[in-house]
Amino acid sequence: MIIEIGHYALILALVVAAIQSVFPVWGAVHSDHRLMGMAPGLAVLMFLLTCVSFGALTWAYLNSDFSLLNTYQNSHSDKPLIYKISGVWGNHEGSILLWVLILVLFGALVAVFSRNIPQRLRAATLGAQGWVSFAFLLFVIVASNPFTRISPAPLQGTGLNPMLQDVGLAIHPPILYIGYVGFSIVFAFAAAALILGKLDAAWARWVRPWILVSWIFLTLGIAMGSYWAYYELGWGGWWFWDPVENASFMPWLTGTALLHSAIVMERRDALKVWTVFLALLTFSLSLLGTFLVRSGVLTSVHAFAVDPARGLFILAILLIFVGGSLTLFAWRAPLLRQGGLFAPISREGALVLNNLFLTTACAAVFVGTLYPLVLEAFSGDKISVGAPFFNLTFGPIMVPVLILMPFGQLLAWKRGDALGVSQRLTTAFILSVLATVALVWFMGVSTTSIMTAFGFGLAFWAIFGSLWEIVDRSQLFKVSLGRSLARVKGFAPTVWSSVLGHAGLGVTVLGIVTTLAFESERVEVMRPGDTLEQNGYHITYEKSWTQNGPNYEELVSRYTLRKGGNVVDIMEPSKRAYKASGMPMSETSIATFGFSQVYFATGDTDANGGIVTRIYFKPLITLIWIGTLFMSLGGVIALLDRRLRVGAPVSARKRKSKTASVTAATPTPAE
Amino acid sequence: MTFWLVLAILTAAVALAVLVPLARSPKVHPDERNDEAVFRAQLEEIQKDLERGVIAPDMAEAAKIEVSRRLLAAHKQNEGDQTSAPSKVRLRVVQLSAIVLMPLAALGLYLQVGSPQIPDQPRAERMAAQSGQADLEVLIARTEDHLKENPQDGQGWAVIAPVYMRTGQFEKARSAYANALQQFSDNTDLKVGWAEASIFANNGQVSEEIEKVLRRVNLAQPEMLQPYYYLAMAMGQKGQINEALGAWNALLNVADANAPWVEAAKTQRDELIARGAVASSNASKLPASAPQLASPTADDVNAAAQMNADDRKDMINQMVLQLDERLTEEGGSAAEWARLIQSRIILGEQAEASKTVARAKENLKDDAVALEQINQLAASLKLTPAE
Repeated sequence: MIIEIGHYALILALVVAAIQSVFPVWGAVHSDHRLMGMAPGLAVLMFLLTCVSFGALTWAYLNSDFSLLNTYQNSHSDKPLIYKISGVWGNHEGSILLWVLILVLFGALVAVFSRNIPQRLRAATLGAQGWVSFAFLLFVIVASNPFTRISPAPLQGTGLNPMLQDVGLAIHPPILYIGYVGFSIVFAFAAAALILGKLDAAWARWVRPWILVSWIFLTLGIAMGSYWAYYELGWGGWWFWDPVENASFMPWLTGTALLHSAIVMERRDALKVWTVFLALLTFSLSLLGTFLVRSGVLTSVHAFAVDPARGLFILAILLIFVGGSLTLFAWRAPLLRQGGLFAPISREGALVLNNLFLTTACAAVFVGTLYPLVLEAFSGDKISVGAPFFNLTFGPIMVPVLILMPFGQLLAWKRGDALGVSQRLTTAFILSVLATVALVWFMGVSTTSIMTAFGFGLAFWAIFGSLWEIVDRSQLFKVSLGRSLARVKGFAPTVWSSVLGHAGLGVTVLGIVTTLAFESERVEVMRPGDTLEQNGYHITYEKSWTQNGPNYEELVSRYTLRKGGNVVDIMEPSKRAYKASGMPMSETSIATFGFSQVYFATGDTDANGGIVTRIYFKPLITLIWIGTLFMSLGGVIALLDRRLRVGAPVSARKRKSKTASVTAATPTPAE
Repeated sequence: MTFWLVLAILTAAVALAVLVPLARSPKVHPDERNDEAVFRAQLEEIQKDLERGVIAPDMAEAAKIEVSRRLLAAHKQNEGDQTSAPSKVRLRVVQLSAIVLMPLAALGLYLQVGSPQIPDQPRAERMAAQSGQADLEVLIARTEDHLKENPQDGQGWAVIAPVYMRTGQFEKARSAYANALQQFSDNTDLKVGWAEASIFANNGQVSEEIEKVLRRVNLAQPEMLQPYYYLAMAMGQKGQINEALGAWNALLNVADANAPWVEAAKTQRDELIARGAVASSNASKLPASAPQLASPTADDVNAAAQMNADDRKDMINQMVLQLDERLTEEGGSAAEWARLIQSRIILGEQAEASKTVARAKENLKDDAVALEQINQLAASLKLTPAE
């Protein structure tokens, strides 16, 4: 009964989505308040119904009810509780249902937290959100139904792919999906603005929190996916330019561009059409990502759905939404009034440049991701576009972004002074050069190439240049320390968010450059008692033994890691065989020293008691992920900015909104 | 019934969510002109900041102008809104779809794709089901769950091992026998069972380890027939065809011609002859009074593997009944009684198990040690002897 109620609730949600798609929009166009008024209630109801449905599926997983085809195929009564839960979305049908759940959750959040948005905009936005919900609910019910029953029911399930039986899987997809799906709200806002033909600075303010939330989660999701691949796959790599990774990276690039252009729109009432276009583009790329991952056109670790019917369905959704939104854009965008003008050298100009580079970089990733697929579809040739392509295209595009980033932070709105800003950044420049020289010296001058040194320089420039905004704005060394501190205290939160976001990017780049240039790898067949030396460490293979986990058997190997005669760590990587599927999995063992890591993975054993041991040395690798944490933190601070809070308009203090209007109205120096 | 009621409630909730906003006054509540409110609040803020001296007067003036412009625009827009008259047709269309179309669509689609007749079947509930309703799969799974929690229960393993054998799961049978032997290391039946399962799991190959075990059993209990059978096989596999032929001949000499394994033995013997084996005179002699070969043979097991679940259940019931009859008529060891009690439990026949405990006690009343074993088992299974 519970399962079938869940199934019915899902169908009811589809019907609600259909109503939601039509009536509120109809009402918005005709200014009929009664029709518009039903939008928030329906959005919340759709969320509750999907919750019931998702809850029923989760119940089936928790209670090992194998009368569902989905649980039978993906669960097992022996699985630990957490993997029973994560198993709900560790498969195609369940993950699409999670996608839908997050989609309608965002719809409900808009309904609840946007009372200060004009009613027409709200109704049209929720209506547009209804289209997306309808499309995906229909997809779930027709082509990926997790509620398909089997009778008579088997008593035991066939288990979950052991590669996916990991804490990473439990949290990675939901976070990534929140990022992906969040952009659907941004899309809905853009579509609503186009339908109503009304787009002003307020629109940018209302939509920005949603961009921020999606962007933060997408950033975290991508970083987590990268770390998951790093420690789980056992290859020591942290980014593979795999189409699945690219699928989430492309919306991140355009989403980042959107984040910045929305600032220009909010502050200066400029770049409106472009911002709307980016909103549509970002969501289209999210859909593309969903298509790539979910249709099975790729063969990679994520592609566990291989069913052409599903692929075609998502392709149809993709084409309808991309085509439809572009048509809407072409038709309605000319109605949107162009806003404020600005000189090429100005904060706006810098942000435009940032947008151009980011979208170009996205185009490069797009080509590298899709070209092999298109080629394969038309000629049958299978080619792989790997890291070299992306390093040559994506890499050079990001260089100017990093160089120009600190300038953008210090340039004034409307009319900037490039020379003046350069002078103000001199000290930051000197600091970066010094830091680079120090790091090159530390890493060894002879082993550092010019390109690596340049990479260090870029990273430090991004870090110091971003941090310099604090020094510059506080007028440190120019006024008394006390006044400087007082100024720091009075910073708008956005100052901190731009500083953290940009410096975080620098930190990530520093990690990437160091890892790429100085990582080393050793693969050896080791016998118990063998010791090898690498990078100043002595590694001794002690022994191996077999032990039983809850649903697997593993061969654990113990290594002692010594430096200068002292034991610094005991490493115990293992190789697991999962009972239900018999699939082997390697569990890596990672020791962290400062920001650097030593990474162990074991392979097969040979007849003489030897074991294949892979050891990677990854200098400063953790900075890659620490940087993304800084970026996300920057996003969170921006989100906490009172201006962006979407609560009740009258009660909230409006100090920040005043600042926005002031800067919008008067070209002031960047302070 | 509850199910359809829940469906009806859900549907009604959706209909209400559509209908209630329609019933509201078509006039715009001033609260809903929230964009105007936003801009008014902004104006007040600027004024306050100006008074506090946070911003310069010229900047405040510019900001005020900007915000006022937006306020005017928003106001004009809202004025326009009010003039649009609510349409009756629109209202009727929406009401109709909420009351008629929406429930029909939902129910229609559900009846297409849903399966309202299939109940929830959580595993724990199925495992706890009464014996009458439980099928063989449940019985096996129940035992497996029990053994997972009590891996030391040698009796349990001894009971489930033949079941695995008969359902063709030789690898599982092998490890079940091995587990049972952990507790009853001297039990020759279990040893032979282990050997048999290992051979089947091994695609019929008799490894040296298996052979060793069989030889030991053969020494301890020369009247058992299975070791002869498999040892003959082993010899054939090792290429000692003459010795193997002798062994088969000796075995077939004492065999009951109707025994199910005789055909298979003859086939193997004929194969050896075809390979050129010559019977030698000093073939091993079997004890004349060897009992009937009881364990299932390859054909037996294959037949079981092809049976459907019901047939298999019958087969197992049959085995239990035979054991019961034999013990009742001839008596037996504590281990045999214990096996029967366990079997009853696995078949879900609690009452029968209790009765068996009583009969076992009656039967073994002269053997204090055996009696104690039965008592312990009964206690561990929480069985109270039927009075």
